[in-house]
Amino acid sequence: MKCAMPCRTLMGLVGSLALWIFGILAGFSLLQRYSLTAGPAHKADPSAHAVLAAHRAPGRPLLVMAVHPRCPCTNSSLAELGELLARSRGACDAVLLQFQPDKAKADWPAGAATRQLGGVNVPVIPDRGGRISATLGAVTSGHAVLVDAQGAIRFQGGLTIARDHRGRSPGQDAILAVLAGGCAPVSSAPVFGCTLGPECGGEAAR
Amino acid sequence: MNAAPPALTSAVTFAPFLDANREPAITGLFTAYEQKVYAQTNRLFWWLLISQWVCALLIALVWSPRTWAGIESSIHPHLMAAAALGGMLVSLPLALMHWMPHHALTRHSVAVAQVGFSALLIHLTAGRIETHFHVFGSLAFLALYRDWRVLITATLVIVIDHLLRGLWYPESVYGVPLAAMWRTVEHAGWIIFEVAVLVWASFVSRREMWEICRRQDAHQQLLDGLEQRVSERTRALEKEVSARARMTQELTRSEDRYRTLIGNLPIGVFESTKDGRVLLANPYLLSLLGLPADQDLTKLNMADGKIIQPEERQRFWANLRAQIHVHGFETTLRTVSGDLIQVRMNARRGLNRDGTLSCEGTLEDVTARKLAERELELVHERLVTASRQAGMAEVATGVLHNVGNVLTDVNVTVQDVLDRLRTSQLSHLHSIVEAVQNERPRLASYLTEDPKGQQLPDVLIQLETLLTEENERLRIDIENLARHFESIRQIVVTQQSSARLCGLADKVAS
Repeated sequence: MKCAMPCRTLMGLVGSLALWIFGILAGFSLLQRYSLTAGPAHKADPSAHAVLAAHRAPGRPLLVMAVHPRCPCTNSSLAELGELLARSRGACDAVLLQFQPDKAKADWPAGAATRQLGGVNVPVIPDRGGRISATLGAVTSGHAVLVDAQGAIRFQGGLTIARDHRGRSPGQDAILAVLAGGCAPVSSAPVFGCTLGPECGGEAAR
Repeated sequence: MNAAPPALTSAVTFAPFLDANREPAITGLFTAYEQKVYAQTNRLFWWLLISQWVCALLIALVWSPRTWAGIESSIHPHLMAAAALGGMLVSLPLALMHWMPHHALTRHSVAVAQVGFSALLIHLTAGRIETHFHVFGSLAFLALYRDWRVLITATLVIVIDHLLRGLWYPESVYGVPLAAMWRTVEHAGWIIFEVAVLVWASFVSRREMWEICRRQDAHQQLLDGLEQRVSERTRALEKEVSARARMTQELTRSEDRYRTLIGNLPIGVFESTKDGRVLLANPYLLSLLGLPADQDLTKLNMADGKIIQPEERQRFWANLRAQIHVHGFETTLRTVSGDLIQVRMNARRGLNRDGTLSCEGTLEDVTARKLAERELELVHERLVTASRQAGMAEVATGVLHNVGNVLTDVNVTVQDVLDRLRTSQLSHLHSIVEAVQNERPRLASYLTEDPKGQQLPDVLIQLETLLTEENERLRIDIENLARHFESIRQIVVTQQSSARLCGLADKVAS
């Protein structure tokens, strides 16, 4: 066979090219797989209503989100939460449950009392050991629970479409639909984020 | 390895009309230009890919350095992806840039890597819509290759990525769980919109590259022509300089020979003006006049009458005015010591730079020759005289010899006549006459009776025969004598004629 370049070189080149393309595809596949792998989620305990009632204003829907302060995905979840609150135009209140380990190191972020999200001051409640979150069934950062004006849980799940990936998600659509007085197309959605820790049952969920 | 096959390296897609004779040269220039563009863009992408890799690492380090499970953390997969996948993306393009900088595969790998970095950065920046602009920026950067096929490769990768994601996980690319096919078409449309413009720009750019190469070739041809003309002119000048150098050498040698010749000539050579100034006089001439060899010629003047008499000089210049060349002009010169010498001159009339008349010529001393000629004339005169005398002697000798010979014959004839006369029969006639006288009285009886008388008639008849024979012999001898005398006269006439022909006639002869 006559080649424009030495056959061994050509074969090496083709092999390298194939290996390179395979490596890229494999890398992006793994990355995609990681991004699309949702964290664990559980049903809320019966005691969750009492917890939620403690933070909900009478007659107003409440959206509670459990977050891990150091999880990179939290940024995306908070951004989507802010966008959702902005789009809901004050139709509901919101509360953040910020995971606080029982034996936190000195460099663990203490967190502010409130966070400005979508033009709304959202109270930040430290969640020692993630116990409150566990009550709500939230074991993954970004897990949100929507309680309507009557105190019924209408939605549980994440607001992002993938790990640390912003974008319009089914969870947002469901919450907006509930807040608009309609029916949520889905009552739950996958949660993409870090687990809140074994203290809150994350390990078990995993 | 750097020399890639033309079929792959050359992305000639728009080759304007080329002159068939110049096509190889212009194509060569275009290929070089194209490779230069590829090399420049490779260098840009070399830095860009590495920068993007570093940027991805920084983003991952800042944005998602670690993943958490409660209080436990580990390295975030994004950081590992930034390191590993980013490294994977830059590895092959950088290697190909090094080993095959002009190969099409290098450019296509760069396109894939660049689009891959767009996807990676979008991932690392949480799918920010702003990061999607990286795709359009990347396409613009890839357009710097001016190779539309690279843009097509990048576009295909993007479109295929969107198609696959749209089919399998539309949220990751469109942000909604259910994406219709038109979303893919819409996204692809924007990409194709930009790529169409960039492809058109690539074609325009390549056409301009061809135009530049054609002009460069024309300039190069002009330059080559100029260089060739300069080279030819330089060679011609070198030849001319060389010829002039040879000519100068020849002239120098010729001048040396001329000076040597003039200096060693056994005749005088001179150049003089009509007013008597001496411009040139060779050593022989100076020595002839009794002057030293280093005589200052400016102090000599032929018009002062010391060397040549003024009337002789006027006669010389009169001849020169009448004719340009004067040959064999003889005159007398006076040396410094006062001796007179006879000279013979050949001269040619000329003009000085100041327009005055001048002459140049040769001069030879003929004093000795004149003396020799005079001596020769004297010798010749003596020789002529001697020759005349010798001729006369020779003539006389010849005449005498011939006359002598004839006189010998005359003498023989005379002796013969004398002998005949002495032995003549005429005496017998006297005896008969005497007998008749004695017998006259009885003459009749005597004749009839006497026995002697009876014999007398017979004797007379015999005598008459003898005398007749004798007379005939004498007549012949006399004729011989007359012939001898005629011979003598002829000899004398002949000698006189010969002497006259040889110029040796002498008055003596008359």
